Amino acid sequence: MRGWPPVPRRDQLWALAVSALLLGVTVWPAFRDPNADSFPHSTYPMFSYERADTLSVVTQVLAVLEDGRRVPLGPLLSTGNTEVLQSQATIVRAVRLGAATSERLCSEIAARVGRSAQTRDIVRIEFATSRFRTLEYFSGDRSPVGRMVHHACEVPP
Amino acid sequence: MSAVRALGRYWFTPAPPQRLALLRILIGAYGLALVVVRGQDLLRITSMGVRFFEPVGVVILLSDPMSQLWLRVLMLLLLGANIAFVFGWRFRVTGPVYAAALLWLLSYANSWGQILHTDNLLCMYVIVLALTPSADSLSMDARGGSRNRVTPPAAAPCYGWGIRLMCVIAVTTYLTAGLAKLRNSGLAFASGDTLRWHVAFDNLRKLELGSLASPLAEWILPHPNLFVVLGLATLVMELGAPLALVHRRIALVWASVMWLFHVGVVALMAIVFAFPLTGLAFAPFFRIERLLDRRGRPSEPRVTPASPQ
Repeated sequence: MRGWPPVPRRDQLWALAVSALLLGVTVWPAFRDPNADSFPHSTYPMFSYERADTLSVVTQVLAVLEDGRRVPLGPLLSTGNTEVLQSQATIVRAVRLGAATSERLCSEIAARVGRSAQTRDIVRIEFATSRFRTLEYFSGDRSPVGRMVHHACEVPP
Repeated sequence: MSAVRALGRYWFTPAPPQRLALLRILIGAYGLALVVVRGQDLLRITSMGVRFFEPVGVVILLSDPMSQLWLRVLMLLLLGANIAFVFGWRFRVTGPVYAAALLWLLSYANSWGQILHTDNLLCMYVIVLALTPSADSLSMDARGGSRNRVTPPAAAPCYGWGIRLMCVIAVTTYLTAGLAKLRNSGLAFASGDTLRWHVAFDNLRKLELGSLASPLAEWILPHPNLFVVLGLATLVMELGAPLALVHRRIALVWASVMWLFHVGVVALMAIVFAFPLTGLAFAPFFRIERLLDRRGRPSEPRVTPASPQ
């Protein structure tokens, strides 16, 4: 094009085509439904929603200890994943898919826990959805205001 | 027509080939570290079975997950192409192969119910680098081709537009995040309540999933006024991102503040956006080839830089 730096026409067309395509992919999410997320184009919606509710709902895997206490099981033991949010997505999906899927995942977790030398005091695994007071949680009130256990299985001795 | 002319001059501003090449090496090396660190996670999560498979991006072409054998083959291909990308070996083939394999495998890793947003910019940068002559310098290809050449390739527009594109992609990414906050919460986001709730929820969720949370959260959450400042600053930084394209000094200020923003995200939410935290997300804005000058390499002829003026 006239007035542009001297670039061979073929290179110029290549540059413009690549630029238009990649910029299009990057800009496109801004004009879509803000809930529609994907990769590598995204609306980055994760921390954008206004939340008026005072309760937080978490679907989790709990380890029941010999003395009856319940503690959350970490992502590596619960789903074999070090990435906590992907691990949570797996747990939520297992619960949504119903008893058969939850049962299978629960057995896998119980077997993993049974093999681990550091988790000998765990006797049971529970899949639960718990509700917590979000801001009060950080003032020391960490007990759930409600909890629904979806599935449970025993850890093999 | 003068606007089109100005746009052309802006987009095709000459840049030294070393700048583009150094971006290829640094970003390729980061990608290599990512594959090594996260490879095991990818193998574990993708063995969950078809019921947990929710394809995103290019992976929507698949109706069922790949077999573990195919996955391992692809990961090996990625690894080989990644190393060739860093060294600039047979780049016209290995560059696009690496970009395609990275796009596919990162999309595949995000196809198990939870999309992670930490690698979006890396993926886009690698695609740009693969489609530009980023191996014309500091590469095995250049070494082979330079046996009959006396001087290294000079600054040219073909080395500038890719860098410009990376800069525009970076600011658009942050701008999109800012716009999402306005679309979903309106100006109420600036009140800080939304941010405060998200910081609390994210830390609570991590603790209740048996993971690490921020030790700072319980100290800062009782102070809502602090979140007014943080909420407003977040919006200003994200919506103001395009200003970084205007001048290099503004880019320096913006990149520094965004880097601090990501440090804050680690401190408050224990979320590590490693790519911006290493500074690589902001590297295209600067004359990084000067790092080579300090090591005694011949300096480039002075040119108008492709990074922001």
